[in-house]
Amino acid sequence: MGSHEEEPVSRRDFLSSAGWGSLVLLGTLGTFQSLRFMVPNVLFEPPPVFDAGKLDQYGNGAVKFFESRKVFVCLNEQGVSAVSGVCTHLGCTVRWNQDKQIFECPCHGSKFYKNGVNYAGPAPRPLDQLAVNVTEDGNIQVDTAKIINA
Amino acid sequence: MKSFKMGELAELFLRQSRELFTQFRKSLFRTDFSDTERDRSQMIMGNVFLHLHPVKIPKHAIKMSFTLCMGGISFFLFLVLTFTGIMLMFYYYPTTDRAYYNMKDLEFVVSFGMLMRNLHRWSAHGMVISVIFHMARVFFTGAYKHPREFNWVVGVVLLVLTLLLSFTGYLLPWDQLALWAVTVGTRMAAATPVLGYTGPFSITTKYNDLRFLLLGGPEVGENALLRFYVLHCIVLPLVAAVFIAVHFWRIRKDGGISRPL
Repeated sequence: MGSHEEEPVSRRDFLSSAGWGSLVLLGTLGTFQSLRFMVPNVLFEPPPVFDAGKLDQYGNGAVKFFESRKVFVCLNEQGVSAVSGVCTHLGCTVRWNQDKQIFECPCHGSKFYKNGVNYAGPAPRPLDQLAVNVTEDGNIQVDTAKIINA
Repeated sequence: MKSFKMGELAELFLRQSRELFTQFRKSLFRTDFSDTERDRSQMIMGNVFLHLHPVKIPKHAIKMSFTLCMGGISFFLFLVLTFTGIMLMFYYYPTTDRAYYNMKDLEFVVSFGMLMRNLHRWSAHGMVISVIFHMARVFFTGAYKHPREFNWVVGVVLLVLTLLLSFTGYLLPWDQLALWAVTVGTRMAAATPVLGYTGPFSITTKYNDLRFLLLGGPEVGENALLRFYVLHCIVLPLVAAVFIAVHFWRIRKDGGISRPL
C-alpha cells in the first residue's frame, strides 16, 4: 500500500473517466446498431428472371408491355428483344406509341425508336436492352438483371 | 480601379475571415466567458439544453435517496421509448394483414430488431412502474402539498397518459394477446353510464356508443388498429410531451426539487 511513486488516480477522476468512457462506448455501439437496423435484410421484390409468354403468341412487330417489370418485349425481323421501359433521362417509365411506332417518355418528352435508340428530348443514351432467352419449348424468358447494351 | 499588392490581398483575406469567425462565434455564444458566478449562470440560461436545469442546485438536491430519481427515470424511459418507437415505425405497417408479420420480422429478420422491440417493450413496462413509484414517493413525502398541488394534478394526468400509451401500444403487435386484451379492455368504455351500450341508463347501441367511437367499429378490427396506432405514435406522445414540459416548469416555479422537510 502506498508504495507507488506516481500520483494515485483519485476516486473522482476514475469515476469521471469510467462514466464518460462507457457513455462514449455505448453511444458508438448504439449509433452502429441503429444504422445497421435501418438497412433492410429482406426485400419484397420479384425474382429478376420472368416469363414473357410463348414466342408463337407474338405477331411480327408486336410490342408487349410488362407493367410490373417495366419491360417491353418486341418481336421483329431481327428476332425477339427486351427493352427496358426505364427512361435513361431521370427514370420515368416510357410508353409505347403504336401509331408512331416509338417509345415516348411522359415526363420530359424523350423519344426513342423501336430499337430503343434515343432521337429527341433530354435522354442521353438509348434504352437498356435486357437479356432474352427462348427456351426449347418456345417460352420467352427475360432477365431484368442482365443489361446487354448493343 | 484600385490595385492591390499580394501582401495587401492576403492581409485583407485574413482580416475578413477573422471577422467572419468572430461573427460566427458570437452568434453561437452571446457573451464572452469569464469564470464568474454571473457568467456561469448565463452559460446555463443561454443554452437551450442546459436551461432546463436550474442554474444553482441546493445541496439537498443531489441526495438521491429522497426522491430516488423516479421522475427522472420516467422521463429517461420516455426518451428511450420515443427513440425506439420511431425506429420500430420504420418497419411497421398498421394493417391487419401485415402488423403481426412485421412484428415477427422485427424479431427474426431485421438486424437488431429484437433489441429495438424489447427495449421498447421493457422500457414501457419500466415507465409504468417508475411513474407509479414516483407518485407513491410524492405521496409518502407529502410533496403534493401547497404550493405543489397543481403539479400533482398534472402528474395524475401524466399517469393516465402513460397508462393510455401502454394500452394503445398493447394492440399493435396484433397477436392473440393484443386482440383479446383490447377486446376486453374496451368493454370498460362500453360500460360507461349513458354513453356506453352496456352501461347504466344507456341511450346508445353497439353501433353508436363510446366504444364504437374508440374502436372505429363495433369490434376490434382494421379501424381500431389504425386508430390505436395514430393515438400511440402521434396524439398521446405529443400530449404527454406538453404535460411533461408543464410538469418540469412547475417544479422550478414551485421552489425546485422537493427536499426533506
